Amino acid sequence: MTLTTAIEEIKGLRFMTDNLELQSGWAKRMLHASPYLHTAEEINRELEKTEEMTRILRDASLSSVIDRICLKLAQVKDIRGSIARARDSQNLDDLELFEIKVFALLVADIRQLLESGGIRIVPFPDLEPVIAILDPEGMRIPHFYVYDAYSPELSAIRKKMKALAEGAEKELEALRHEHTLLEDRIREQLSSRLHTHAEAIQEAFQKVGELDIVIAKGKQVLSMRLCRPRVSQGTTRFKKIFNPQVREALAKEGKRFQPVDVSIAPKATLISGANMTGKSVILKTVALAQTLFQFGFHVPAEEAEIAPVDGVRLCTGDEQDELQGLSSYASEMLRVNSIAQEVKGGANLLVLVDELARTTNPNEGRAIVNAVLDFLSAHGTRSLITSHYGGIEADCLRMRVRGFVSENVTGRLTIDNINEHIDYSLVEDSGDTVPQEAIRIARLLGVDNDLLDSAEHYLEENITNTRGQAKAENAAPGEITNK
Amino acid sequence: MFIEDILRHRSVAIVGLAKNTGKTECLNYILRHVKDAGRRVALTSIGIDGESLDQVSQTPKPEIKVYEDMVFVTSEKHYREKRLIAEVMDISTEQTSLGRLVTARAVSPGKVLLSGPAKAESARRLIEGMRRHSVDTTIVDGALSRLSIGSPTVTDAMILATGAALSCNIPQLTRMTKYVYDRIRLPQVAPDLAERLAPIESGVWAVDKDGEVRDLGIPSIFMAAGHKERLFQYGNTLYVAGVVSDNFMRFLRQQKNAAELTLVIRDFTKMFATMEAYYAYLKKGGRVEVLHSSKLLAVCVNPLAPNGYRLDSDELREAIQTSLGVPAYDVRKMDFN
Repeated sequence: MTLTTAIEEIKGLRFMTDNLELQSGWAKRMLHASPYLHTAEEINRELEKTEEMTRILRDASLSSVIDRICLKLAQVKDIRGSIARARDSQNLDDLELFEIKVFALLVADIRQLLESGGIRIVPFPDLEPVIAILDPEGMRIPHFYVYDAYSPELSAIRKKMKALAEGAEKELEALRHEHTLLEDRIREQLSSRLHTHAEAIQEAFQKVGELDIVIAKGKQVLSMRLCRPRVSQGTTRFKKIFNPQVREALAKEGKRFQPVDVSIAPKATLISGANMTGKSVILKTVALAQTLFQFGFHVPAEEAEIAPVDGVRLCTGDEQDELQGLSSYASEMLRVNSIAQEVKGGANLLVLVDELARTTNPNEGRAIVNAVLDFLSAHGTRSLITSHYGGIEADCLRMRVRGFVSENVTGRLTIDNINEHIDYSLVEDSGDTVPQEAIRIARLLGVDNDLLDSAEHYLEENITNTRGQAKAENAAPGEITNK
Repeated sequence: MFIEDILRHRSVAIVGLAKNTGKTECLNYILRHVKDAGRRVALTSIGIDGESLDQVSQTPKPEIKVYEDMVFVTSEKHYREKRLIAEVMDISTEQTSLGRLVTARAVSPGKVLLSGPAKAESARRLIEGMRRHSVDTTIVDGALSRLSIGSPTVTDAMILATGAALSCNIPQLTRMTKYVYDRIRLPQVAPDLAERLAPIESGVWAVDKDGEVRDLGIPSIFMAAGHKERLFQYGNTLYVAGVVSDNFMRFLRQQKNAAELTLVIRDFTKMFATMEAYYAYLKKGGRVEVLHSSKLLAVCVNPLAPNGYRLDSDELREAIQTSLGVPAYDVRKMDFN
């Protein structure tokens, strides 16, 4: 799996990668092709590099060096074609030789800048031998042609050509032919000499992309205030995790994003909470943070401790499966099934499901939620499942969004200001009750009173009925309790 | 002074009004004479006018001869086919149908086929980039009837190539050339108004008595006739951001206030109306103004038509010079002087 595929699956990841200030198109392509990392060592190596870069970026005395390096990086062109031909022992033409020369000169400049700043994160191979081949006159100008300096014979022919009077077309044509053959021979020699350095050129090209990426990542860490996660093997914990994209959108409206603490043990965790209390955002943000971590990025939180997983499976119900002719229930069940198959196959996944089985009847829905929670807990799968269903008795941890704080409401509540009255933090929850705040929130939003009175009437009747039924059935578990 | 005039500008487009109007001869003439002027000249073209065969008549097209130290831009394909020694200075990231664009400096004199960016905007950026190579003047070989390359947003000045290929009748040929010239030298609106109109890229707008720009809510000139009542609600000055057609000019002429009208267009390349419709509007008293005006340096004439018919060179030059009031040269004749 590459970052490109992850961007398709994880919302908010594109926002993070688009935000990276990459200088060259090559670095962008390289970033998008970067692989999903599975081991703690690989992840730590990446994190360490970024961490080191943030230290450099914080050092004011290095800022002009970094700026100059970025200017050089912006000039890097994608010359993979020419490099491949050099490695392949092909004969290179003037344009290819030009590309390699320009690149080698850039690398020399970048190396020098890195050295002047004592920056050793990304070590570059020395391409001076390449420059020596392509710059026989030692001018260090990023231009190229088959210079006179390559051969006295060539220089002599050129002099002869120049001396010919205009109109001596026949003689000129003969000389031109000779000249072409000679140039070709020289290019052949240059190509074979370059071939011995092709690996170094290739390596430098890789390093140029790496350097570009690590600088961009470092800048992002500082501007977004991301943190370096610790690699853990047990419970994944985020302290004050935030969603950069949502935070930015809220900031534009003059609102504030409330970071929350989340922990994900190697079993199922059920998250309950009233409507509009940010449960989906929590899942999406956790998915984003875990994915960033798996690609060796810092994460949007104040502190984090993350266990590596083989994959992140996020199921939010916004997927576009209707297009394939599936109902929302069918597509959700198929997704859950594929997750279950992976887990059974031994995959170590982070599973995040928003309002599991919400699109079917509550009785069966609750049963499905119970079953999925049991299954995930039994397999020790790190998972967060949100649900509005009460009466969940499966083996799982429970968290609840603190939710609506109505004490300090003055004036009318609207869609625009309701978020100021919600406490988005997660608290541990012991019981199996769920908040019954749907009608209350609707009322606060100013929904028609007659309508809501009627809803409340139904609700009361329903509770009485359920109680009656429950008594009759010898108090079966799973009852809806009003707080 | 023709050459000095060219070298006074950062960029000059050479545009032929038809095939075989002698544009290439004109260009070769200019290059031959700028080579010793002590200034660095760059050369490029727009579109694929550098094909070795004329796409219409299938006759071989002359290559352009460049001289030592001139900078030229051409596609990868034509770069590989060049017949001179040149030093590669840059390769564009942008692709054309003939590959990327190579900027090079001629180390020896020789011939090359020119091919350049396909779009005016790319040509503009390319000319802008020539500063890096210490180029003083960039000469752009404009493709056939690609007047857009002469747009003042692309080049500072232009040279027209006209001749018997366009018409074998001197008065008719002069009128046709004059029409192009009249559009090139359209008067410019006040600079502050030009600045406010320039960002508007579509629709029909009005400028009221106080110089305020007003949206008429008419997305294109094709809908103008249907919104007649709105069209003049703010007065008699209209700004059309896109191209202006024959029909629209006819429509304006037929309005009661035709004599008071001022039509503002972006630059002369946006005027697509025929000669007849254009002049009829002016005759009624209407005015046309532009945001950016252009500069015509000279006209090159080619008295020879592809069918072999030859006009009298002096008579032709004389007619053009009198009618347009700019110098006209027969580039072939000049050479032997």
